[in-house]
Amino acid sequence: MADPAVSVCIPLYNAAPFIGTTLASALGQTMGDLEAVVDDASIDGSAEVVAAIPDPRVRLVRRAENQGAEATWNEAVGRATGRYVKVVCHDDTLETDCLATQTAPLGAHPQVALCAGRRTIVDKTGRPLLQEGTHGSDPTDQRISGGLRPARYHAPVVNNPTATGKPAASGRPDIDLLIADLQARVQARRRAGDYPPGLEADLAEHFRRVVTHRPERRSANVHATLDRVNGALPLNLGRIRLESRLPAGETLHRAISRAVGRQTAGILQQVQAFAEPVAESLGALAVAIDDVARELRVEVTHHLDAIYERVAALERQLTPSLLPEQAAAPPATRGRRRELHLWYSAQRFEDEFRGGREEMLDRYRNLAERLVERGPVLDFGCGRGELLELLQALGVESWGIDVDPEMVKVAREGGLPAEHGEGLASLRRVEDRSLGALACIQVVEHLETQDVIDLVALTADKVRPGGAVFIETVNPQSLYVFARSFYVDPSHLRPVHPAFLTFLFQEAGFASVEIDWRSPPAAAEVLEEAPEDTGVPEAFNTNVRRLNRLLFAPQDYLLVAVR
Amino acid sequence: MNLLYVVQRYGREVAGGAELHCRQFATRLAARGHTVSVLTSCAVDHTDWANVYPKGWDDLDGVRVNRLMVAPKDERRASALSRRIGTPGRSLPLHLQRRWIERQGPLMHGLVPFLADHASSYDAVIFFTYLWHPTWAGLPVASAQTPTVLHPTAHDEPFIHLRLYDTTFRHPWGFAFSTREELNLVRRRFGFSQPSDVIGIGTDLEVAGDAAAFRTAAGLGDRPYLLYLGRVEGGKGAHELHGFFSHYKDRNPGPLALVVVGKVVESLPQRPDVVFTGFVDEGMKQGALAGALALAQPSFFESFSMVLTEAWAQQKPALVQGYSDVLVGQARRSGGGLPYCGFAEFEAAVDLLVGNAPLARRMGAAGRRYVEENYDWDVVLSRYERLVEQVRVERLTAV
Repeated sequence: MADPAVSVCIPLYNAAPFIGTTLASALGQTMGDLEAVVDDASIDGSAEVVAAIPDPRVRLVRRAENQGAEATWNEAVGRATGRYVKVVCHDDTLETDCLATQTAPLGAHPQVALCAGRRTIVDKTGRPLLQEGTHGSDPTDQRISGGLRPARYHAPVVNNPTATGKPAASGRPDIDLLIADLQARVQARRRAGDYPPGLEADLAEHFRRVVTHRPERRSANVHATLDRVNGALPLNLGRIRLESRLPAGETLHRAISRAVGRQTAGILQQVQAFAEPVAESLGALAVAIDDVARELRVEVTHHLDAIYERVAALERQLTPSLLPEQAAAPPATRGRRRELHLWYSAQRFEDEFRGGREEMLDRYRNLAERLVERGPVLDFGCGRGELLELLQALGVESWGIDVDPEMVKVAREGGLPAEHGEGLASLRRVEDRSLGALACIQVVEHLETQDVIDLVALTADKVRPGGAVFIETVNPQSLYVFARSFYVDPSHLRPVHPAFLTFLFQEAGFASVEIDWRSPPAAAEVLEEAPEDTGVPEAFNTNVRRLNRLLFAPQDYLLVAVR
Repeated sequence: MNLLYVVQRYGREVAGGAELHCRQFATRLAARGHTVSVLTSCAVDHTDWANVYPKGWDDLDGVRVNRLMVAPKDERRASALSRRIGTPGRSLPLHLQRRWIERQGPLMHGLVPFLADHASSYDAVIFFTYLWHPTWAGLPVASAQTPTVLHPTAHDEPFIHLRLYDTTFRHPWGFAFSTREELNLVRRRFGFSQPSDVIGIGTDLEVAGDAAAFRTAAGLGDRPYLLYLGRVEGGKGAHELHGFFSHYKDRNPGPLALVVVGKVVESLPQRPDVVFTGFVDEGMKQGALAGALALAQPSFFESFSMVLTEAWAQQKPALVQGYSDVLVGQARRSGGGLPYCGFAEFEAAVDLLVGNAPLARRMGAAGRRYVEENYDWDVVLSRYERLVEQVRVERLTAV
């Protein structure tokens, strides 16, 4: 048989007195293009009544045992092949033009998924008791559906999700309905003992192994409770029993039935109006609990991480003081330049040996330009503030710290934002991740090794991600430096090797570390190679170049580490 | 527009979803008249980052590719940290997270200086995949100078919960997502206010696979078969599918076969009704799709699933992993996929597809329509150009 337009699905259980009329009303529709699917596990001979009806449009599905209303409803609908589904209760009758009327708007408006109608409640002899409004307030429907199921379990005509052929409406299978269908099948099979013990659990093991990071859905309990609440709510006040032993006759019966019917309908409506929001709230609560649990977990993990990091930072700070040889060092030298008691002016010394202001400005102009757009910049060990001056001129947000009050005074007199600070302690006070860049020019060669190590770890905390650290210091790979300049400055302790400094920054988690070589010795100082045509062996020039690399390598290096 | 892509690997020989995704965008945007360059590594394989391609500039399908040398991967030390990240209930201090991403690599030599010096000469710099080091290290540098877009290609895996990535997701000027689920995940995890759009990946609609040729090559005769397409790995769900299918067949004997097309990374038990073809070329792959009853996509971690849209392009319905939000979302929106959670639902789903051919046809047709409406390359690229333009305006008004 070709797929019919409408599947009339009749879940049947112990309705022998009614099913004949019900089926007759379905088969006697003005719209003939239909099938009737009947599902059954009755014990009162209902199935035999159906089996005796000789219409080929009737499909009877008999079950070995009763599985409950929900499974029967789902199975009846699941077996529908028509374009539309109409669920009819086993003791209801349809008006003869019911299907034609209800399918018309579905065909005319593809966006419409469901069509409901009015109905009349009758007693067991078919006499009208109550004219009800549209489906939404229909107590019979709600009784059957438990009040909370999706609309497809209700009696209106709906588009059949599993229908064959070209669909009338959107044509896009509704996956949610298909999922519900799958789950109904699974439940039926589970009840039938179709899955041997352990089968599902064993097969789910793999999933648990692979997807371990997801928080367990503890709200499953809430959903189970919600289901129980749903199950407890069915409004099975049922049909009003009108049998009475009083001899007052039919008139009285009718009067009572009307009165009771009106009262009951009102109560049912009120209970329904109450039950729906309660169930909705419970549902919303279950979802909310899910969300909160998920968010809390992320937040708690963040807090834990912050604590871990804080502990790591504290460890870095504490370790030196816990080591005996470090603890023995006089605190005055910790984290600051070597302290000398000078009877001469440090300013004079700088002018004499480090070059005048103009010379310094020329030397650092290029570096200052690299710091544009990297603000705020801290010039750690700013000295007289030449770099700061350049930065300020370029509009870069910047300030300086120096351990020498005399230098700071000179800088401040020049209108520069310099502060006096005690070495690393002053850097610790800077807010974490607040710096776009930190410049540390000709400073580390004045520091104790432990302070150099600590300085790098500190910069990792203070510079924001993407920020950079610029460290310029003397290059110990150039022997010329030691002969000419390094020991001129009495506050120099020891040079820091670029390989060690690079290692420190890499270990501190910086994304990239680059070295620029600066201040090569003047050409006049470097060993000359012999001109090519003088007949000097090539080995001579090779040796000259080797010596130049060893003796006359660039005097400084600039390390740039990007976090 | 003058665009620069930054991606961990790039080239015809590179296997990997995000990398292919990137190459398709770069190549197709170049064909649409944009100037497209790519900054990437010399590596082909992400397990060792061995330098295979020569370093320096190269041309590939109209795209200028600059490959940088990459430091060898310290697999042993990287995987120790990865394991810890993957263990529930354990968290990792930030400095170890930084160490982890460096060990993961690829540490591309000169990446940061290149971006520092050249990023501003591009109209936009576009990063692919949040996970690897180049994005983590490069995005902050590039974002400081020019509009940037990140394709996170994120899914709900342990790594995305690392605090390390908090800053990574703050830097880009805009986001391009593969699916709505990915957008929701990133929004839930990081929160963001930058412009973003669900771009997806284009799918070739003009395909006609030769089913007969594939059936002959795979020795399938006229048996109906479910098709698994992709690398055979645990995280991809291949083991679960194999387990489910084996039990399905033991309980429901019949001609139905499972055809596994793709490189076998972790081997599976042999069965007469499971056919392994190994890696096949594009033509054979399309043939495999054309002949299939349905595609099975059991992957737990997906940010898009190109095989799914490819199957739909050929009007094939799909059985998809119900535990993957992305797959369920795509199935729901299209009407072309049936999600299952666990064996029982898998069995019922197979029954439904095998037993209801008209439904399977309708699902396939719905899938095709969905791909036509959303993943035609022209539609995707127009959406993409709009997003990049919007990101550029965003930066102009912000700076």
